[in-house]
Amino acid sequence: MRSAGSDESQARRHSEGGELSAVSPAINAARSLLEFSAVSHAYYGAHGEILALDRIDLAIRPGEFVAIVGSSGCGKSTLLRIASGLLAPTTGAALFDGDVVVRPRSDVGMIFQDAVMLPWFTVIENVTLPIRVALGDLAAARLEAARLLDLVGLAGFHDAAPSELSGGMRQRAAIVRALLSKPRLLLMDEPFGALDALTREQMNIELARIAEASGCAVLLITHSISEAVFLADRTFVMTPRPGRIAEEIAIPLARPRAAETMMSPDFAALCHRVRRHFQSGGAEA
Amino acid sequence: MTGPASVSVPAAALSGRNGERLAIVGILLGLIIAWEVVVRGFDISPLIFAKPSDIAVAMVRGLRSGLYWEHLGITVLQMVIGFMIGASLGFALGVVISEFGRLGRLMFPYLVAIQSLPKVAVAPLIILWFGFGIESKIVVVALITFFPVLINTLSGLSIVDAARIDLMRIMLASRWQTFAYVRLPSAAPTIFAGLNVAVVLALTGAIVAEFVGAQRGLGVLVLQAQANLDTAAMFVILIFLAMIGLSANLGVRWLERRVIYWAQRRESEQ
Ligand SMILES: Nc1ncnc2c1ncn2[C@@H]1O[C@H](COP(=O)(O)OP(=O)(O)OP(=O)(O)O)[C@@H](O)[C@H]1O
Ligand SMILES: [Mg+2]
Repeated sequence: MRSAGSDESQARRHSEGGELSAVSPAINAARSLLEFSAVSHAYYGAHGEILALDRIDLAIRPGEFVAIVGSSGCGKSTLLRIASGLLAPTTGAALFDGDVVVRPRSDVGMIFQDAVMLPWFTVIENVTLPIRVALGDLAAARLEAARLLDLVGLAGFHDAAPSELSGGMRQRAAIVRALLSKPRLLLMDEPFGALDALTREQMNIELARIAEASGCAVLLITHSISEAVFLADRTFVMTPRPGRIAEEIAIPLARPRAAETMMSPDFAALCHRVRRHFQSGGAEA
Repeated sequence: MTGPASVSVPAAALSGRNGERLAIVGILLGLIIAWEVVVRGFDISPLIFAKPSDIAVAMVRGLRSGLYWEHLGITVLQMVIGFMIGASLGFALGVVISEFGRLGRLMFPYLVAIQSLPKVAVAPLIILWFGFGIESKIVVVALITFFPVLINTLSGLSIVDAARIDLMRIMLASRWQTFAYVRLPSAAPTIFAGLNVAVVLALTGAIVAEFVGAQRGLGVLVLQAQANLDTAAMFVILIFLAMIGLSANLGVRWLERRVIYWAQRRESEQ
């Protein structure tokens, strides 16, 4: 079931991103897009050395949706910053497409916890900013951005100021911004952490749809167990600091996933399996 | 001088509602009448305190004869040109220092030393160097406006919002793009705070420089009126100065609202 799931995501990728297939040959289906090999990271603060990550190994295949759950302070953001190239690991390396990640890359998008929007730009200007920065075709980008904004329910807010949007709307705009540059990997750091439970559930359903349609691989950081199980093909559970991978759990739920998925007994069983780690550790559920 | 003090009240009034404006005008009229009554009633010498009616007569006479216009023009010209030069240089140096940290560290002690010097004290020296014409006044105004703009540009650009910088890094933005799209707009409110201070200092600088040595300008007229014991004329000039200060201040605020349009948006939302 699990391998079927990832084959399916492979298929999504290749039907969508024809221009990318030269970079990731279809022959080598097992080849990972992002790979962490023995990544450790220590911060040097006022209280001495803090080991945030301890020898993390993980791999994400093209088109795959991977979630990482862990309690607060276990090093999830650190892991994501290393994956994005914003932060260099103390030891070990993150590899993207076989190359060591030393700086951010244009084919890796990132969505921050609080949908960073620049207040001096309108929503559509914010969303197309990556294209503008890359000196790309801005006119085409605006058209595409308008289409995507409509798709995520932001029709009528294209020329609004970011401050006129709610937190959920801003986060949707941030997703559009990340998708616009057609990334092969999308890194998301608790993107819905600041949202209320209802909006969050709605955003999850939308994200599942968007990820399935765009075919880009996603690495999602969350501390919501149901979010991880609902969205991911695989979920990694991290230990409290220093962060290690406690367990890798395959999520063989059928796609496309929708609200009904959350009602199935399999869903509940998988959630329970993830939750066990936190009950024994005494961390948040 | 009177410029700065008289600026803030009417400025607030202009942004208020109509009723408030009427009230402000009413208070002004009341004060003028009270002033007239007090000066007449207590029979105060016109050498010490001119009556509003005398001031009005002096103003009309002066404006008719064209006496004031030339001097007013000179003072405004010195102020505006000096302000533009001083503010541009202050901004430019602020950007250079904050972009090239090494240079900034080398220059900083000198800047602090110059900054702690009262700039008007340098006016006699500048007039010695640049003469009694308008150039020396422009230099004094530029010098006096340079520092608040420089300091505020530096402090505005030192604000670093880590999340926005991360966003720009993720987009692979160049240094220039990060500056133009994030750092400069983030710094703009602080820079404008500096410009608001500088524009008030610009008028002070122009007048003080004219006191020290000039042939034309409102500062010269004040000294002449004082020599002639013409108190009414001195009041007329003070009124002009207040108007110039007020207009300059409103001008900068108008520019600020246009440039930092997003700050206003957030205000109106509250
Ligand atoms: N810049 C820093 N300097 C020093 N220590 C840091 C720094 N950033 C993070 N840490 C430490 O590293 C550990 C991991 O931080 P990280 O932000 O990766 O946690 P997290 O799992 O993302 O937590 P949360 O769920 O609360 O966002 C934390 O315990 C924190 O104290
Ligand atoms: Mg975090």
